[in-house]
Amino acid sequence: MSVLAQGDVLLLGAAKAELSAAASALFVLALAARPWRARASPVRTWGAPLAVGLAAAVGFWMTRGAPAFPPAQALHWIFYAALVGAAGGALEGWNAKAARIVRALLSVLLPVLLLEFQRSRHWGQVEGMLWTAGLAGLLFGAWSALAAFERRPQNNAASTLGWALASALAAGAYLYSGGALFAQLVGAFSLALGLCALLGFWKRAPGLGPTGVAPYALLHFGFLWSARYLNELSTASFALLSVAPLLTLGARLVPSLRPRLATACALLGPTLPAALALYLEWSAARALGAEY
Amino acid sequence: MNLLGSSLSVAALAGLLASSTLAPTPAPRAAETYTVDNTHSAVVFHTRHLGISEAYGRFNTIADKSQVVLDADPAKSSILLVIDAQSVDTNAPDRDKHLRSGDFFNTKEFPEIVFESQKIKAADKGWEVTGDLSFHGVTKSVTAKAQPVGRGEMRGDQLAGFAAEFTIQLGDFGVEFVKQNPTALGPEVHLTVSLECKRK
Repeated sequence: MSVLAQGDVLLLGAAKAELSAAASALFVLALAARPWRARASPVRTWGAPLAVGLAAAVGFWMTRGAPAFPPAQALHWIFYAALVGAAGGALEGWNAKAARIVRALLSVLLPVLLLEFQRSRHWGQVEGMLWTAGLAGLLFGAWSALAAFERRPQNNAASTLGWALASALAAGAYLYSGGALFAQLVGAFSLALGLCALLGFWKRAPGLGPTGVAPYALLHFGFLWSARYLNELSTASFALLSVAPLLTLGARLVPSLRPRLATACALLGPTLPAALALYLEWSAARALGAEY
Repeated sequence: MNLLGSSLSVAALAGLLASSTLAPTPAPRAAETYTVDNTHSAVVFHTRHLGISEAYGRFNTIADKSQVVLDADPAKSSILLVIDAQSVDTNAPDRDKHLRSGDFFNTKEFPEIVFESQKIKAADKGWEVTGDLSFHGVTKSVTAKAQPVGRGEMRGDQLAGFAAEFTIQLGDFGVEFVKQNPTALGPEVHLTVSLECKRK
């Protein structure tokens, strides 16, 4: 979909948001570069969660303005999820037991708060409870599995790069499913992930690490649910993007003697379903008629 | 949309009230309640696109719960107008999807545009209607002027028609796209509301 106004004004707005978010992430990563060297104890890395969370919050601010508190719209919760995700990620590096409790709490709170409008306006009571519980379970399971994956000593930054590429492709799918500003926000998020991945490759360390998974999981699923329930993301794309991050885990099945295959698996696992989702949304938009 | 809703309700109420005094049909002694005939009514809007041209659109559905109560005393009259925000139609389905999204009207979260009158009084050539317009999760007081078009009977139904035009600022209602891209659209949206109402 092209945007409602087809002039340079929108491109400038998008560039402003993306660059501001990227600059925020770079600033944090530069500060964290030294701790990042500590490959032996990646759980103590606070740079990745702070970089991703701050970049998403700045991206939100630049694309949608300051959010209200308490939020006047469901999407405003994304801003607070970014901040809480950053803090939760840092906590994972300091106190694992407390982090697990926070992880469970946030996994429940995100669908409860973000989808309150959906329960009150569109779902029945039982349907709403089932969906909320299911989505909370998916978030908690994905968060835990990806954090465990990132904790593996043989892990590198390929998984983070895969999530960054998948997020960029998802931003395209979100654009075609209804929201230009929303796509810009997800684009800022993917940029921050990409910077974490690049720094990880440079330092020969994990990109996000287990701590960075906190804001990643919260925001990936927060964006996805918003695109599905606030905008008009199709069921097929919703399913593809729900499982996309988890396909990184396929790298665990690859024998340790084939590290390149494991890297390819971590990279392509999330990217391919996201690319398919983008194609589906693009096709659906084309079927509606001429772009405006 | 706000404009549309407020203008619609304002127009309807003002029209009914005005028709009660200006048209040959005498004003009702007791309050009369009217429903809006969606088929013969229209809510049309237009706004500036990139400062280049005027882009037009409409809302296709006015909810059944909309109603106008007409009394000989304008102060005792009232109007409730409910528009289905999802029914926005600009003759470009791709653009309509964008307008329904969180960038603009956020219709999944705020599916209705509601105008409820608070004060009605006679004005030049019609009525001045002030009420609360709820749109995109924001409620603001708006005022519009309305005029009667005509009254009559069809198949035993008592009908009355009204029209109104007015202007709102989308930015006042927290529409993010307009706030972040102030030169892309608007900033004003002009609404034209034409109602055909049937007495209950």
